[in-house]
Amino acid sequence: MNKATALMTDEELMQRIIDRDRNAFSILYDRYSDKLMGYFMKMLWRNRELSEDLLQELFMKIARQPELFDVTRSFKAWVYTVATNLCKMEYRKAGRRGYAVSLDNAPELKSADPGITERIDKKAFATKLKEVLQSIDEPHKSTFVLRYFDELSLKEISEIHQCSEGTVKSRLFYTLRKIAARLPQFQHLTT
Amino acid sequence: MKADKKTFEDGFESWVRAKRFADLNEDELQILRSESIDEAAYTEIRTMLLALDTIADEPDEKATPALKEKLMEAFDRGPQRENRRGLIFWIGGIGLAAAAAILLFFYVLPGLQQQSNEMAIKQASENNETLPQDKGAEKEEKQALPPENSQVENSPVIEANEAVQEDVASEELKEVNVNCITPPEPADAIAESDNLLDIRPTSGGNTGTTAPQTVTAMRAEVGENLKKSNVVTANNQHLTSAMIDWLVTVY
Repeated sequence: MNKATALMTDEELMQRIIDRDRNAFSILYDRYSDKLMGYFMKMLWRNRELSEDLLQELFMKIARQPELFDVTRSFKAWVYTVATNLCKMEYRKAGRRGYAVSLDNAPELKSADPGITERIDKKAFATKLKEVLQSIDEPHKSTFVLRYFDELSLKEISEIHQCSEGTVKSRLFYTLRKIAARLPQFQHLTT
Repeated sequence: MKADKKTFEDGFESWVRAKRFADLNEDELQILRSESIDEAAYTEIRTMLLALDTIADEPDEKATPALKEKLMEAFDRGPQRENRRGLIFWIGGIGLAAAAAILLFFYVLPGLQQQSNEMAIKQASENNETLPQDKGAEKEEKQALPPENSQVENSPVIEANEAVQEDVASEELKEVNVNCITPPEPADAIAESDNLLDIRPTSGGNTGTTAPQTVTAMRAEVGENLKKSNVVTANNQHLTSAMIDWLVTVY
């Protein structure tokens, strides 16, 4: 693999992909496939098959129509926008099938039980957190995941969701409170 | 997860994690107030943010290696081939549609039209056999009224019907003429009535024994006489008008 290519920015790689550079496509895939797979998994009810299908669909778009990307813009924001739109489509389909669960109807996780609390660890928290995330509505969940798992800036998230940064902040506050209320047994992690 | 402090430099997370509620300055409190966040909610949020920091940075499940191979193959095929395949598909589709349209217009539709015409003629002739008086009445109405709808007149089915009706009508008229010329018992039947005109075509022409009358009166009288006589039957009732014309003319 060309070392110079490996050091290129995402946007430069996309320009190379538009010029049909195979290496550039391979590098970009390696950079984003795990992140996007994780994003789809969190967004789509931990459904591995569906997540992989969407990941394939997304990279197929890049392989076949790279010119859809405006190289003057941020690739990260663009690729997460496409990913979020794919998730929205799945949510719509799931809504028609009655799959979606609202946060208010989500089962309350058992609150502080001393016997269990002693055994729970950070991994359990991560697992429970992902479970609770599945019960949150799409814009709040997406905002939360993009912020705390995929480390996107408020500006990038506001671009992806086409809303103001203030709205992004509000959504984050709201979701943090909701999740904290659902996971009281993990309060000890911070003490 | 890499939720370290530098990640959130652009947001509220950095100061939320760093400060307890009591340590917040007025600007920060203002932000919380605008979000309707009180001390309890702030503590929950802060706890959650700190808990998020503790989660190990372990990626979710990775995509299968086969997916990358598949995508690389797709990339190698390139967009041109995909476009070409799409183009071939569309050209093929349009060609098939055009061929189907040609077949339809030049072979199938004419055959169907001919078939429908034949069926219409057949049906018309059947109708004439079963309901001759209705057809006759319609024909009389048509003769009396001027044509209103040229489209209907031009219809091949109507024309065919009319042709059949005319044929049938002319044949029936011939039969009536024959009956009038050599009726089985017309002379006696007509002679029995006092009100009858003395029209006897079977006896070699009209002798004009009655007083001269206007044509209208004669028509009325002849019509009346025909009704009373056995000349007009259920099968040739619609020809009454034609018969009157003929009889008056001979008279």
